[in-house]
Amino acid sequence: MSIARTPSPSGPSAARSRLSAWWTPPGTLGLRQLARFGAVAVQLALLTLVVRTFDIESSAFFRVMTIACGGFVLHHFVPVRARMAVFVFVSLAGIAMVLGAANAAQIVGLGLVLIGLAHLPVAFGWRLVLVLAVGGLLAAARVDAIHTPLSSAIWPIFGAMFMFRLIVYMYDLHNRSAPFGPWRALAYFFMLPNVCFPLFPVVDYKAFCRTHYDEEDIGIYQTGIEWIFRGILHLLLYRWVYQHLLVGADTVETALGAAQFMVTAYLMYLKISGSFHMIVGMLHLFGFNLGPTNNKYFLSESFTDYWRRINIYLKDFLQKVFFNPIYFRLNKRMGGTSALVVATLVAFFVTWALHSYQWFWIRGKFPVVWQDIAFWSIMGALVLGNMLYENKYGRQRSLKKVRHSVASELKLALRTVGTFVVVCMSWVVWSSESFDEFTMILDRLVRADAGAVLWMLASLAGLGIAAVVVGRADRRKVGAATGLAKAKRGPAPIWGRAYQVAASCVVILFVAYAPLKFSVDPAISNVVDNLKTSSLNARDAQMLDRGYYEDLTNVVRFNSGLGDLYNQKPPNWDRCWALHPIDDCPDYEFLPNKRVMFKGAMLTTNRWGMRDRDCEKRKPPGTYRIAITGASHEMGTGVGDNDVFDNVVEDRLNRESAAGDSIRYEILNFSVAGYGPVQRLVDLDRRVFEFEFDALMFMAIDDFYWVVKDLIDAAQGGLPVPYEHLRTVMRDAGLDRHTSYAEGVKKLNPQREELLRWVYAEVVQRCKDRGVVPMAAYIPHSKRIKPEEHAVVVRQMELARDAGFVVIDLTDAYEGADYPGLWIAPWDSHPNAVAHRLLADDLYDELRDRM
Amino acid sequence: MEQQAIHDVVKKYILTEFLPGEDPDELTDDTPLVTTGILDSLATLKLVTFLEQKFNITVEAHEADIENLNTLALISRLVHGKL
Repeated sequence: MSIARTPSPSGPSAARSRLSAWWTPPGTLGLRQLARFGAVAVQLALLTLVVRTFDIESSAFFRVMTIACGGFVLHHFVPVRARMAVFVFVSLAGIAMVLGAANAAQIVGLGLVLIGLAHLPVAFGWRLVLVLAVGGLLAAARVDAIHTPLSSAIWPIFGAMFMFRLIVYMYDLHNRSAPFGPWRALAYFFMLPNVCFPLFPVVDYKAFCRTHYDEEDIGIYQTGIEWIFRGILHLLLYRWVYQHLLVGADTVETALGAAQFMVTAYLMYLKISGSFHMIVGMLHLFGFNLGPTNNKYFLSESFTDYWRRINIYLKDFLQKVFFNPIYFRLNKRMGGTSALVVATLVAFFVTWALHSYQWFWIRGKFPVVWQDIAFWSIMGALVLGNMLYENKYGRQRSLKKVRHSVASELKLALRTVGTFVVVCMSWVVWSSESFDEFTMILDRLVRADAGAVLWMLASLAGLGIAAVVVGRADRRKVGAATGLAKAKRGPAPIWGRAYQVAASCVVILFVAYAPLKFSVDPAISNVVDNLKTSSLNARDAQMLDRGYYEDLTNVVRFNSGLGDLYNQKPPNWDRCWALHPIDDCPDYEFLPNKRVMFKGAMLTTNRWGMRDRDCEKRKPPGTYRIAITGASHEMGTGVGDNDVFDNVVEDRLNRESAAGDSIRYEILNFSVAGYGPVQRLVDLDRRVFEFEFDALMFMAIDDFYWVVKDLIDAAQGGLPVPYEHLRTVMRDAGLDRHTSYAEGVKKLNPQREELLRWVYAEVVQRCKDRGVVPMAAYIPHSKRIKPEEHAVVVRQMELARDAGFVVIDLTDAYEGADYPGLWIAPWDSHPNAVAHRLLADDLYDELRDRM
Repeated sequence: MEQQAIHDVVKKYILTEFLPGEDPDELTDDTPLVTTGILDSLATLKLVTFLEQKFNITVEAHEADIENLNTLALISRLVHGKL
């Protein structure tokens, strides 16, 4: 249940009257009030330091926190009439500081247009039409359907500010159910924390106005401090789960692994609840005494209870704008129960639509994915069923603390556990790549052995106990809240709460900095160090490395660490206009004679459709020629034409040979992004061997991963794999168009060594048949790898050597470098020009030694 | 109808429907009902239906919120204002 504040009469005069009861002009501030304010300020400073130390959210959020610190102090000491205006200026300053003056001007300008339209002196219907029309134009601009001078960087934040709040604002405007004014409107739409958060709670306009200094100011500030702190704890817990516990479906082998997948998928919501706590906590610092955004949702005891806890602002928004109006209209016509059913189903349909609408503004796409539809349908059905049950049988309520029996506590525990399990299963639906993947997870779960069952039951029992203990504490709070209503409210007691927050911050900061001064167990030190950065977990880093996540919408739906990075990614970052689809395997190739910008660098293809300089098929006399096949790293994704490592090596060989040898060198680069070993073999047969060359360099990072992915992609795409042996393997493994990636991995991973050995043998044989030296070169990952991953790299080199390749080990090329400094962008770990030079130097040394 | 009479009728309904067995003295004019979860979304709808039928008034959807329904005093004021 929510513990929010009792509303006071609303309206500007009422607000000033309330505030004047608590606000003491600066000249008459007593020491006691100053001390209380100082306690809040000290806590805020400590929290800002924690945010900085642990790199909470982003560097932009730290800047907003520092603005909030200064704005908070300034804002508190100005007269009550000026506080809303000060908040507006602080908010606008925040937008300008984070997004830049130009982007800020665009956001504010567009916002003023919409606000102005909402207040035109015409009938409300016309205002609504105009707002919708302008909204439609903006939506068209969002997807580049119409050309505007607007920056693409503004859309996620502009959308977050207006997409929901404009609906609420227009609703209250239509019903004249709240006070309106220019400062309120500006404060409501441009509120300070929003500039950092594309995902933002749906703050209700009436609540925003009503709760402004509706209680003693220091008490409101202290609540805000506690919520910011709680939000930080959520985010640190999220980070720890994300880095250490989150697993992918393709790695689930056992029942406990399946349970871990389910629970950690649900725990990813901590990212949202943590952010929302910090956002609303920050608003408290400026007097907005808003209610909590979530309330211990893991301990929900029913589906309606879950719906009321998980995202309270969204629930209130849906109830206010959709559920109540529909129910009130239908109740008289079709009766209460029918109206309840229709209103609930519509509310959940709207919930699904609004989620996709939200992603439209953030990513420029309106996702219609079965996982969302299934999830919200399941939730809607569960909540509706629960509501119908409560409608008929009611639920227990009490005004004071009630003694509960063992039987009732046991029922509460069982209800909580049952709700938790069902909600986890729903989250698995939402986070599964395919229905087959979902059933695979369930299949692993039901094959639990006795040990796994005991572990799971013990964990659920712990959850049940927590539900009982926390439930008792909540019931005491409700009793206190009803009791407070009887007593006259005085200044909120803050000292005990302030000491708790301040002491906790000091402890957290000590833990963060202790390893720098004292000798600490490396295991603990590593955990603390990882908590201090928002780095990708091993799986996401690997997937980023492999370019696996192409459907950004699928990634960002869960706000994984990768999703956060991708939210910064410019639209169409991954689109390469030099590639075109073909009816073959692989099913795309370079177009010839193209010159395009790709990932921030010029990419030129020659007349043969290679990302390379022009050349003849026959090598010139007196030339030693090497042909390279590889994927995106070797292709030089995001790097200028002359900075790709093969051109750097070629230029150096020729520069230094001009001083001595008479021989010239050419390196032909046939690499194409996304080509795994099978596809490179096909490419050899299709075009590479039409060229004359002396040596073939078959380049890779992790061919074990790609040989499996190549076959899964071929099966899913129905591509014509030209090798009978591989078609047989695919057939025997049961791969087809409906096989999910996780399933495909499960089926093929046991055979990946055999598959790779076969491909390598085929390549070597083709080289020998043509008198070409077969070389296999391995380049480094774009990240530090674990010992077990290095063992995989070593093993593939052994297979290559066994097959007859001359193996060139370039895996130390980036040794000692700062890896993110070698990436083309924070969200894209392809090697940049610096990395290509390191690679080129290493390759040059290897070639010089061998030639 | 006097506001006190409205207050008594509403109080009796809330105690009977949502707080059976509770001490009536615990439910005061200022006891928060919405913010403490006594009146959740379903209970709010039931209360509004009762008010409309009992007092022959119409409560708009936008009026069924915390500002008008959080305490007995607020509910009585809402109803009295519509009579």
